[in-house]
Amino acid sequence: MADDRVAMDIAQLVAEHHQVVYRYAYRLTGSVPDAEDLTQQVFLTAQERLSQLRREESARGWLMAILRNYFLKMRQKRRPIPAENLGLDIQTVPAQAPDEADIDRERLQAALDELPTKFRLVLTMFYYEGCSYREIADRLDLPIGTVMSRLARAKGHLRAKLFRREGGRAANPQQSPITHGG
Amino acid sequence: MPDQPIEDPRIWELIEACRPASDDLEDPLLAPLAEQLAANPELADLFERLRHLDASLAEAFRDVPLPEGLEGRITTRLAAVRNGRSAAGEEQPASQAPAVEPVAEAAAPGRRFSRRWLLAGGAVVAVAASVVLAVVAPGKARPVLDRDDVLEAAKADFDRWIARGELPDGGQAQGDYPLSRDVRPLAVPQVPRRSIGNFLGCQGVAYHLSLGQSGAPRATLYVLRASVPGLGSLPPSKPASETGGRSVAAWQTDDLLYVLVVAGGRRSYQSFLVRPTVA
Repeated sequence: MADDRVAMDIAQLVAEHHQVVYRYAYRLTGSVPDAEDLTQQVFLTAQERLSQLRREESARGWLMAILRNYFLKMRQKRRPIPAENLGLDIQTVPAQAPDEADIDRERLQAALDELPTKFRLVLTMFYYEGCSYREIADRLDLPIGTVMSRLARAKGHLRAKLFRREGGRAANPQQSPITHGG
Repeated sequence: MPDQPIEDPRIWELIEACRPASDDLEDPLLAPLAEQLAANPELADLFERLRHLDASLAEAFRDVPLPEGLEGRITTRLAAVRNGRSAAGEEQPASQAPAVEPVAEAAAPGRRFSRRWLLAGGAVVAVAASVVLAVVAPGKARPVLDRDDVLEAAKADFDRWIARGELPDGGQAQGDYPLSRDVRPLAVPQVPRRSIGNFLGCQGVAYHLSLGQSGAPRATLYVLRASVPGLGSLPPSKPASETGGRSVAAWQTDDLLYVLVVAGGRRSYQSFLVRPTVA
């Protein structure tokens, strides 16, 4: 009977959360098969450890934590762009922020795929999970300064890939009132 | 309109740390940013543009089409694993599940990996493991690490010890983890050192170096039994990373991986090298 109860609970968990888990997995892996594999692994682990889940409202965060851990363990060894090439660049901010519908999804994923794993994870936690820099630091056990640095550089890379035109400046550029001193 | 430089590049990082539609600016750590925004309308305009852009990007991040039949495939596989376990009458884990608690990037993949191997067991796995080890590191089973991870982990460890404001006890250089001949100070009998039980899953020794003069930069040399693909055998003349007031570089010999973290910039880093040998 106990097994039946678990089966019902895990089915509920899958029904309610498989979409958000898969989408997160896709943003991290950049591949449909990898994202599905990762999603399946997340729910297999959830099934094994369902007794750890104390409160239903914690389920999403719990599944995300499982997913992040799997992703970090299984991260691809494909060499992304070197981390030192990710700079702070204010010129990547377009003069007029585009609407969500105007953002090219393929370019978005391509830009994500280029990032080293640790930058991609921080960026996805910020945009997809809506985590604050403090939450990211806490969940990844990183210093706050490291999170801020990675976040700033990863966001700059993303914008450069999405909005920068030939010539190296943001699309529809406007003379920025600020330049980066460093 | 003349450019108005941000005096402190940290302000830019604070701007990027703010989430759209949030009260992040009330965070005390972001108070310097709030002050700058109040005093600089152009900066405030840029800040708002970025928040708008971030809101759009967050929406785009969540817009991922779902493959057809995904939920069905997940539940089918879960049921198959449950039924298989029941049929086998054992509680063998269905997946090689990692720990659910947050994992630090400097966590020990090697240690977890070993535990997984133990769980998996079996002759086939053992044979496969021996083949893999033979291919990866003929004759020496050293963990293979990612260069960026090594640099980050060393820098984080260095910062933790700087924050403590203390040094470990001095002692002779350990035979298994000797000081590098390419790093100063050479042949110092009592270099403060400590053993490291888990550096990205590796063991090693950290030597806390100082050049002796008052106000001289401090450094830590990490000597680890690990390897990093593609890393050179001599310390580079320029650090591989210069961020947050730290310069970090790594090199390796046949047996050991060396990571040098120096408080300061390139010149401070170079002051610890016997000779900058690799451009």
